[in-house]
Parts: sequence; C-alpha cells; structure tokens
Amino acid sequence: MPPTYRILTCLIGLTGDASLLLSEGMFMTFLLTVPFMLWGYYRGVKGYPSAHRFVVGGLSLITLLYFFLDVTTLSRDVIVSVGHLTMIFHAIKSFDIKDPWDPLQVFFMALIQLLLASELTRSMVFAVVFVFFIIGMVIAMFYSHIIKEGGRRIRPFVRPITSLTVIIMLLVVVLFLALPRFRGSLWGKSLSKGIKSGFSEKVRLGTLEEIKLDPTVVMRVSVQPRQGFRPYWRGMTFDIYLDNAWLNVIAEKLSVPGERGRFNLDNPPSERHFRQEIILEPLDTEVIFSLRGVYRLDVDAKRLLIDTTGTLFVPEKRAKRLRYIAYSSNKPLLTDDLNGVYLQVPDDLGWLKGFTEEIVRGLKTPLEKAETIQRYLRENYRYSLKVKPPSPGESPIKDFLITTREGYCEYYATAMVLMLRSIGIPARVVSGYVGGEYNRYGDYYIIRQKNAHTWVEAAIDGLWQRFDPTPPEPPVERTVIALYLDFLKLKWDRYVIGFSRYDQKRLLRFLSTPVRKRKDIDQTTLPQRYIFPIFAASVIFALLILGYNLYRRRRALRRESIYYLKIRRLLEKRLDIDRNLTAEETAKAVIASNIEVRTECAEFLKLYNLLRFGKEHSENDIIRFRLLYKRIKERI
Amino acid sequence: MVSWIKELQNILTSVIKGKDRAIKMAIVTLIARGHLLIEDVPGVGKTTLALSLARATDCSFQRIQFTSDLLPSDILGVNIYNPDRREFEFRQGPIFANIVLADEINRTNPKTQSALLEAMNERRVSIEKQTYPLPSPFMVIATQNPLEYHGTFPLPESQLDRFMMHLRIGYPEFEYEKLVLKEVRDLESVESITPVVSKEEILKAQEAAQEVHVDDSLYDYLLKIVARTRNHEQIRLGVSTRGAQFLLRAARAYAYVEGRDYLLPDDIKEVAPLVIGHRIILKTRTYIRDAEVLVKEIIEKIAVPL
Repeated sequence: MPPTYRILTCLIGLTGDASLLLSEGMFMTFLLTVPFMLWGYYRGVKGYPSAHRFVVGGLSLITLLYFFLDVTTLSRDVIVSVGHLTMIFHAIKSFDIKDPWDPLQVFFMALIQLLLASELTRSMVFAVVFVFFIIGMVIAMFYSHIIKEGGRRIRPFVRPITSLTVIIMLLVVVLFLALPRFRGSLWGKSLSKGIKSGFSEKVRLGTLEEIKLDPTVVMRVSVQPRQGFRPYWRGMTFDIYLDNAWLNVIAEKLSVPGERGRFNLDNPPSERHFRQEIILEPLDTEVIFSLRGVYRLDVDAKRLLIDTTGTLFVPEKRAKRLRYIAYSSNKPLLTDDLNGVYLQVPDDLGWLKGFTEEIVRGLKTPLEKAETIQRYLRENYRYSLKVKPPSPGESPIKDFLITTREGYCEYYATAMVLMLRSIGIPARVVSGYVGGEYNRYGDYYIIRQKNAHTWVEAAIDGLWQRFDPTPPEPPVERTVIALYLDFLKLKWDRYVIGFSRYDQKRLLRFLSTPVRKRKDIDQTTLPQRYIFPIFAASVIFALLILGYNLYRRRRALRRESIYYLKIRRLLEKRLDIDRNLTAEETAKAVIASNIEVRTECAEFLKLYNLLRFGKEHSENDIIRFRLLYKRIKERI
Repeated sequence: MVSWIKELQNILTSVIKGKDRAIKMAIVTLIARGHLLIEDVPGVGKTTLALSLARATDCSFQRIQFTSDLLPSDILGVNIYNPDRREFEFRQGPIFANIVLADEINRTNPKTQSALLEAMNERRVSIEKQTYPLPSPFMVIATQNPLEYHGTFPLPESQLDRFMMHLRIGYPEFEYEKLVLKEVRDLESVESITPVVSKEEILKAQEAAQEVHVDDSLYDYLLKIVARTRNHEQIRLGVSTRGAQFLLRAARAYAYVEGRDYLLPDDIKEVAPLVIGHRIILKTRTYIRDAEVLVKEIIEKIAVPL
C-alpha cells in the first residue's frame, strides 16, 4: 500500500473525527484519540509493522465494554456513545491498516461519524467538513483504482475527479431537497441542551456575583420597514416582587384562534406596522419575542397562546429553530389588564415612597414623574455587570439605590418599577431583548444572549408606556467579515438546518408554476427570491460548459470529419456497426449490407480517407465528397 | 498500386494456396526492410514461402539449416589462407544473399543466434577488423517450431525484437488444402517461378514506402496503442520505442502495398498484431493468453482518429 494512500485514508478518518468533535455533545476528552490516530498512521507511512492482532483485538474488546458503560451511565446517549466508539476505533485501526479492506473500514466509519455529526451539530462548519469528506472519498476511489491498474500518473484523473465530485455534490443537494421531512430530527433527539440562557422566565436579584456577556446568538430578525428606533423585542412581563425575585402571577394564558400556520390576534392597524421575520434558536422557554403590539403571527405550530399581558407562547418543546413572522404595530398596549397587583411593593421597602417623592417633588402628571425617575436612574447610577451580593437580610434594591449605586438592567428596572408603584403609578417589569447588531449585508438584526434586557412598562393615560432606566451602552462595531459570516450562517440555518416539509412544498409549487403566474405567489418568502436566479444561473453555466466542450471538440475536427461523423451516425442507425470502426471497415460493412446507396457510401468513405489522411487532393475530390454527402443524406 | 506487387502476390498465391495474408505480410516486411519470423508447425509452407519469394524477386537465396553445432563462422563466413597468394582471404558465408532462410533458428546455440541477429540488425558482417556489407535488399526469414522444446534455445525477447513481424501461417482451409492435394506441388512449381521484379525495383519501393504520408493524428493513434501495451494489466513488458518505429515502418509499407501514398488507421490496425505481438511479455502466470489476440483487443478499444 503506497504511503500516499495511507495519508489519504488518514485524512478521511480525520474528517470523520473532526465532524464529530465540532458537534455538540461529544466529550472533549476524545480529542486525545486524534494524536494516537496520527501516530498510528505515521508508523504506517514510515513502514513499521502493524500492531499485534492480540493487542488490537484486546483494545477493541475494552472499547466495546466502554461503549456499554458509555451508553448506560456516562453519556446515556446512543448517538454520542457511538460517536465515541468510532473515534476510539479510528485510533486503534490506524495502527493496523492493511490491504485492501482496512481503508474501506476507515471510510465507512468516517461516513458513520458524519451521519452522527449531522444529527448532533447545526454548525455551518459541518458543510465544510462534508465537502472535504466527499472530495477525499472521490480521490480515494480513483487512487485505489490507479493502484490496482498499476498506473503511476494522477494527472489524467484530475478532470474526472473534479467532475465526479461536482456531480456528487449536486446529487447531495438534490437529495437534500427531495428527502422526505418529518417533524423533529432523524433520530428524534433534542438539540436544545447546552444552550445557555440569557433570557429566563425568572428574574432574581442579588444572587449572581457577575454576569458574563454571552455572545450566543438567540435570534435573527429582519424587519420591514426598517425602523429608525432601537428595537425592543418584548418577551414576558412580571408583576409581583417577592423575596428579591419577580414573579408572573396574574397573567392567564389563552389560546389564539387561527388555523395552523396563521394566527390572527387583532385587526390590522390602519397606520404603519412592522413585519418581522424571526428565526429563534431553541431556548429553554416557550415565550417568543417580537416588537410589541402583535396583531398577526405566522408560525408553523399547532397552537399559539397569549396571556393577558401580551406575552406570546408557542407551547411545544422545541428541538429546532423556530421560524415565525410577526406583524406588529409597535404601539403601547392598552391597560385593559390593569390590576391592583401592579401597585404591589414589598413591605420592607416602605422607605422607598419617601425616597421617590423626594425625586419627583413638584411634578404633577404621572408621565413627568416617570420620565424624571428614568432620567434620575440613568444619570446617577453606574452600569455594571459585577455586583456584590448584599449582606444577608439586606434588600438588593436598597443596596443598589443607596449603597453601591451600580448594577445591571434588572436592578434598574426593578428599582424604577418599585419607585413608580410607591407613588401610585402601576408598573411592571418586562424582559426580552433589546437592539442587536444590524447586519447590512442581510438586512437583519443579530440578537445575542448578551442583548437580553429588562425594562419597565408603566400604566399612564390608559397605555402601557415603555421606560428604560438603564443607561445606554455604546454600540459595538463588527468587522465586515464577521457580519458576512453571520449572514451566511443565517442562510445556512434557514435553508439547510431549517429546511422543512413546507419549504419542500413551496419549492415544488414554485417549480411547477409557470413563470408568468409566479407574481401571484407570496413574493416575500425567501426561497422564491433566490432559487430561481440560482437555478437559472446554474443552467446557463452548464450550457456554457457544454457548448464550450462541443466547440472545442468541433474545432479540433476537420470539416470532412464532421461530414463523416454525420454519415456514420446515419449508418449506425441502419447497421449494427461498432463505434470504433475505421472508415475502411465501415465501408466493408456497408458494401455487405443492403443499403441502397452502398456504393456511394463506399466511395464517400474512401474519399473521406483521402481527404482526411491523404497527402494531397484536388478540388474535384472535395466537390465529389460534398455531393456524395448530400446524396447519401437524402436517401438513407 | 505498383504493378509488380500485384504480380508478385499472384505468383506467390499460385504456389502457396489460401495463404494470401501471410504472403502479403511477407511482401510488406520485404518492402519495410524488415525481417520475418515465421512460427509454425512443419509442413505448412514456411520454406516454400521463403523460396518462392526469393525466386520471384530475382534475389539470391540461401538457406541455413540451424543445428545445435552450427558455428557463427558457418553463417557469416571465414578467413581462409590462400597458399597461392600467401594471404588470408575472406570466404563469404551463406548470409551473403538477398533472402536468407534461417530454418529452425531456435535449434542453434545462442552464440550463433546472436551472430545472425547482429548481422541482421547492422546489415553487415565484421570479421577480424574487416567489415563486409551484406547485399541489398537483405531479408532474413527465420522459422521456428513452436512445439518442440527439447534441445532448443528459445530466442530471448531482446532478439525477437529484431524481427519486424512474427507470423503464423497455419493450416490452409479445407478447400485450399484439397486444391493442394489435387495439384502436383513440389519444388518444381517453385523452380518454375520466373522473376517479376528486379532488385532495383525493390530498393526503389523500399524507399518509396518510407515516403508514405502520415497524418499527425495517426502518430497519436499509434503511440496510444503502444502506450496501452505498457500499462495494460495483463502485460508485464510493453512495446519499446524501437517497436513503435517498426510498427510505423510496417504500416507505411502496408499502405504502399495497398497502393496508397498515405497512411490510414486501418494500416496500423492490420499490421500491429503481427508487429507488436512478439514484443510484449504477458503475465503468463495469471493470464494464459495469446499475445496477438490481446493486441487486437487493445486496438479495438482505442479510439480511431477522426
């Protein structure tokens, strides 16, 4: 076995391992198998003998035992355990690669690893690894063929290798588009674990020492029309503050009427409204986010719930991304749900009333008072993610307002709500996300866990007015590459990971609709916008390649050869002749046949030989040749 | 077609019946300035072919029966002391003829074989610092009996290489064999052959044949065939560059015999099995094959130039 083939085998094994290691859920300890594997292949390339079979067998047995342990106690997950198993086997096998079946075993294991990884990962890197795997496999295929045939040169195989790779890629795309989809993933495994949450259905103060900004992307939102203000992606509200934590007590969940896929909450507003296309990562909550004042929501779910405070829920355990389109007015909600609870202040915060009245002295309207409190908090307190827990028994709010005078949004919002309540203005805490990075390449917002935010809604003049007492942060500038990569990731998430039955139906409908009628289809859905140009471009590209090849072949041919080929094709229809016959042999076959123009054919073929291979020929020969060509073509 | 070639063919076919192809190939070899190796069982007309070719071409003819005790000097000639002139003078061996029939060449020892083959290749004989050119045209027709192995020295591949063509005559077909039986056919019929062509005409034809026009695509075609023999899975040793040269020369001569001044792929197709067949070594342990058939198969699969 040549060393190059060994190295190729090693690389394919590595793509398998890499695909697994890049996915979530694998134990990182198994990274250690990679150096062992490399060592094994290194030994092979250097020509050391393979490991003793008892050693290999013994290790394999131990690995199998470990596998059972893994499934039952360690990872308790069949997919992850099989992944671990294949990685160890890769390492063991690398010490024992012999002709001709062992490389095949490695390829097969790598394939299994890729299948497992496809189930475990949602990362775009997987696509890159997959492409490497395909290229590696195709090269290995050709290479093993070359070895078998005893050839040495690879150069003539470069073109077939490339074209085969491209064909396989296209096939994969077609298969991907056409494969039947079911709800959930292939193995029915949940992918939600491992995602840390910045948004939580509980808001508790004074327990965490320091909050780390988590850059995990939570959702991506494209808003139309683009708004000029800082967007607040409203999640849920909290009404009672008890034991330093906010609770949601009074809200009642109601089912929203609507058929599957489209839920109407309200009449569309006459003024301007916002259409938000949102792709939400799997979170540990049923709450979904949007701009306030949703009147219609399109989501692929059985049920949609709304509570009295305007929080929306999709009551399904989600393993995949949720994609939904929300139509919002982005106007303050009406205070229909006003309740005494919104004036609740914990007993131990009695001093707060005096503290607040001091600030709002002389102001008359609730709006002025609220704005003053907001300004007061913004200007006199310092934003900090590092908050020391208060001494036992001490209220974290008192600590924030009087002692440390620093905290993060939850402190600000809590403080403001309680201050408003203490002077008789109903208020509540709202949590969700704020802002996000605007990606101008894809015209959408990237919202990360670190954008999680809490703010205040106060019932003033019959509306839940929004206040945000937290001092604004300076905006983060991202590099072009980072933005573009995220744009690619969005498309990957939407069209590869999130490719669903509905997308299949839409694609099918799109392809089966005549071009003229296409305007009727909802133009705003993304595949239609992109697939047609891509499809057209690839067809044009294929035609160009085909044309170029034909042109090249034709250009290489002389004119008489083209005539000859045409006649040959005609004759091939009539006679059972091999494609690789010479003109002479064809002539013999024609003479022996019962074709009526056989003598002309024979003369034509003879003339062809003269014109094509002869040293010199007269003008008459050419004229005769063309004449014969026409005559045969007419009569055959 | 040059008229004498047709005549020559006619005369030879009248003597050796049903063997048109073998006769044609013998003429092709002569015109291509090559040597012919005929391998077949005794009694199918090897000697008759050689003899009648010599007769009909007005060429001198010598026959050497190879035996195990034959010495190089028996073929090439020897310096003999002339007592009258008091000096050594060279006495030509039987190789000094236009057409030499080396009968059962594998019966003699390698030393003698190589002496012959060297002379064949260089077309001259060197003895004791003296070089004597061989007559022109010069052609060796060697025969081999494929069935007898005892006491033979099979020609090594490197020497087989010197022969342009390796021909098998084979038994005549039923009809022709019947004709042979009916007719009185012995050496008399060969004796009665009168020359139809002079040596000069042959030499002219030899020159003209190498002027046959070869289209560039046919060089590619020929080299593709040669290259395929080198990377074929059933072949251990493929065709050398000299083999390729021989193939081209033979094909040109074939085109000339066919009466054309340009080469066709058909010419290459026709002569290649005979020119290449004995130049390749098969992986005999795995594949028991006939080299000639294999070469034919190879050629069938190579795309004919358009």
